[in-house]
Amino acid sequence: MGLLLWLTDWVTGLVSQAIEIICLLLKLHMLRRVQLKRTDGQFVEVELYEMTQRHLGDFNGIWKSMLESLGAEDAFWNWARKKRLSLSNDRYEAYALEYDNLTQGLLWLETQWHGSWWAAGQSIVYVEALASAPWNRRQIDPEPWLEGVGSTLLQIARHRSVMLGYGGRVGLHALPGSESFYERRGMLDLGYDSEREMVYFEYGVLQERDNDS
Amino acid sequence: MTADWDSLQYDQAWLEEAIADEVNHDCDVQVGGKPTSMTPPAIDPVQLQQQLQQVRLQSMLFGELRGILERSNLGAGTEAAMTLGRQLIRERLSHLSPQQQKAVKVLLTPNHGSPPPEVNQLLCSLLNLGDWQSIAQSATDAIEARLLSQVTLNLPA
Repeated sequence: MGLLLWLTDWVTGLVSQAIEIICLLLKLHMLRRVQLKRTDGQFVEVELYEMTQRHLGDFNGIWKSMLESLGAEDAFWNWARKKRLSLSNDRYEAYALEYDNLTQGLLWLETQWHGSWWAAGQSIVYVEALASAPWNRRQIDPEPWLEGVGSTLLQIARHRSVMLGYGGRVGLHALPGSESFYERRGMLDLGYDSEREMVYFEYGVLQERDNDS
Repeated sequence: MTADWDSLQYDQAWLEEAIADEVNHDCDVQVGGKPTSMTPPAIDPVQLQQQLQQVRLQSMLFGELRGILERSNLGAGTEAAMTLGRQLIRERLSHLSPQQQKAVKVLLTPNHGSPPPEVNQLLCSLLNLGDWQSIAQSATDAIEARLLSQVTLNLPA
């Protein structure tokens, strides 16, 4: 009888702890956890959030000065404006990946006005902006803190497209030098966009096997 | 088919392949902005290491702050408190006393335990009573704003 009571207490304690943790995470707007790889080869859990003020604080207070000193063009991107638009306009969405209490990647999507260049009349999620923290960039540090941040953010954009009923269609303009990467990742090269002066790429409908590729 | 964030699927094999593609194509995935022909300045390895140490330090301090705020159970005020706390920490780190600089040096020693107990001491020396009161006030304000957004008040004309 005593053992049963002790077991009941133990289970109740566990359940209430779990509820407390879930409530806390909900309060902090976490959407889910995803895995990334540390440079020591260890896979770690990273938190996906809707972008909040603290992520902006990390960009302005940590990323920006590093990116400026390294001459990176995105040091001057205005993520505050992107977040503001995401709050005031349903068609924009902003996300952040967080690990070790720091913002590791930022993503800004447009979800209503862009159409597919490949399948006329079909809606897509358009990647307006995507950036990894400076310490996750191989071109800055050959041993990045976390690997795969950019690819994972792209996958998140693709999943958002599925959630919206667009089947996984995602479009983006590739910065020079990255075209072969997007091709390798299964995106369609839909040609040079003279207005944006970049090549436009698109993911088609997500197939089951695409989840593994 | 219904999809939500929980149905996002990928595994370690997918991630390994994506990372290999990034490496093989010498590509840090980045989207946005305009193509530029500017060549970035050469990276000064010493400066980079100093910057990375600052990042590591902030990561430790932010983790300690988060722990304190979670234990304080601030509910809907947690986010506002965390944002202000992080801002204050960043400000204080740019004006360290000699003693604090010494503590930072110890914390950044390689192979130091994680998280080292000295993090709490450093955090408590960085933020004073007024700072913690401001953090608490930001949480209070957030809770009040949340509550007032849920009700319609009948104010006298």
